[in-house]
Amino acid sequence: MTDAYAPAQVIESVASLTADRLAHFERLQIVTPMITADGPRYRMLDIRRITLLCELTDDFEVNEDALVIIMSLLDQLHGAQGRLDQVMQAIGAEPSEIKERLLQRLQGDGTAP
Amino acid sequence: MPKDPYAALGLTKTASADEIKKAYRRIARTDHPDLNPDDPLSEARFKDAGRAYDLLKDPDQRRRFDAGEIDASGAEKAPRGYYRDEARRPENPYAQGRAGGNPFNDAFDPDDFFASFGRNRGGGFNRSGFGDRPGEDTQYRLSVPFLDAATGTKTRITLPEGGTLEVAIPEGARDGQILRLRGKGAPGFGAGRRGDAFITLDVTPHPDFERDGDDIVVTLPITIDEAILGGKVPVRTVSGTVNVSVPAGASSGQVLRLKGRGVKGRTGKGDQRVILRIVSPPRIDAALKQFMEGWRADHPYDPRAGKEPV
Repeated sequence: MTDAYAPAQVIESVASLTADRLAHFERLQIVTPMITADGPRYRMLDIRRITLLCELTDDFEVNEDALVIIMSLLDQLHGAQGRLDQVMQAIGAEPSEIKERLLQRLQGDGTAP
Repeated sequence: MPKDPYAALGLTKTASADEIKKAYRRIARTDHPDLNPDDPLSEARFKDAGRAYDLLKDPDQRRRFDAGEIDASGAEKAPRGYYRDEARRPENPYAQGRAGGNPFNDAFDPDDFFASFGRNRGGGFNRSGFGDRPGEDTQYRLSVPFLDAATGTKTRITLPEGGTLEVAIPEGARDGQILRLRGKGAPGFGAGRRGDAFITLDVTPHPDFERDGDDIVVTLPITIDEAILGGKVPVRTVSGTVNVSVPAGASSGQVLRLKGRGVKGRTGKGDQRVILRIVSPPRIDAALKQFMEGWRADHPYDPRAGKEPV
C-alpha cells in the first residue's frame, strides 16, 4: 500500500466532496475503500474515481440510478480492456507462425485458413 | 498564454450561466477522458474546455475575470489525473470484482476456457422464478499485512455498513486476489438465495521482504569477514529466523536459495532468495588499513576484467 489516504484527506483533496456524499457513494457500492485496522483507506485510484463521480453528479446532473449504471458499464469496459491487454500480451509472446495464424483468423471470417 | 475561456467553450462574453454549462457539457460529453476511455486524444481536447468551465462556472470568479482582476491562468491547476489512467491497470479492484474474478487466474481447461471466454460476463441476473431473485453481490477491499498473506490467517472485519465478516486469508494469498464468500452478500428477494461477498485483497508491502511469484526475495547485509571466511548468518524468513550458510569468498549480489522457504503457490512452496550485500565496517581502523595495503601489494586482482572500455 504505497498510497493510502484517510477519509479526511480525500474530502480535502476533492473540492466538491463532503463526508455525506462520500458515505452516499459507499452505500451505493460505487466506491469501496480498503478495510484496514485504522479504518477505511483510499488510494489514488479511488480519489480519481470519486472526482469523476462528483463531476458526473454536479456537471452532468446524473441521478443516482444512472450513476450506478454508468460506473458499472465503465468498470466492465475497463475490465474487458484489461483482459484484452493480457490476451494481446500472451499472443505477443507466442512464436510468429501462431501470431500470423491468429491474425488471419481475426481478419478473415473466423474459419481456419 | 492561456486561451480565452469563452472561446474555449465556443461562446462570447455575453453567454448566460446556463449557456456556459450547456456548452461545457456538450464538449465534455464527447471529450471527457473518462467517458471516452479509448480515445487518447480526448484529454487534450477536454483540457481547455475543462479549464474554461472551472473558471466561468463560479459567478464570482467569472465577474472578476470579466473585470480583468484575474486572468485565465487563475484557473490553472496542477495537472489532474483521470480515473482511466488508474483504472486501466490490471489490479483495478472495481474492474475485477464486478466481472466476477479474473478468468485467467482460475484453474481451467484450455479448450473449455476459450470457448466460454466472453460468456458468463453478464453477472447476477439469473432469475429462478417470478419475484424470487438472489441478493446482490457485495464488494469489499481488505488490506492485509504482508506476513499474514504469506502465512495465511483468519481475520474478522467490520463492514462499512455495520456487521462483521469472518475472512480466512489463504496461505500465499496474492495482492489483488479475490475471495468469494458464498451467501455473505445482500439478502435475496422472495425465496432467492443471498448474494456473495467478493473481497479483493490488498497486500501491504513489507520493508524487508519482497515477493516474486512464489519466491520471497530479501537482501542480507554481511560483514567483510563473513564474506571472506564464510559462516552461518541468521536471516529472517516469513516463517521465522533461520541460519543461512554464506560460502567463503562470497560477493555482493550473490544469491543464496533457501528451498521451500517461500510462499505456497499452485505448485508447492516457493523458495526464499537471499541476495548478499557486503557492508564495510563503520570505521576503518589502522589494523585493517595496514593489512589491506600489505595484501593489495602482493595479491592484485581485477573484478572488472572484461567490463572496461578498451
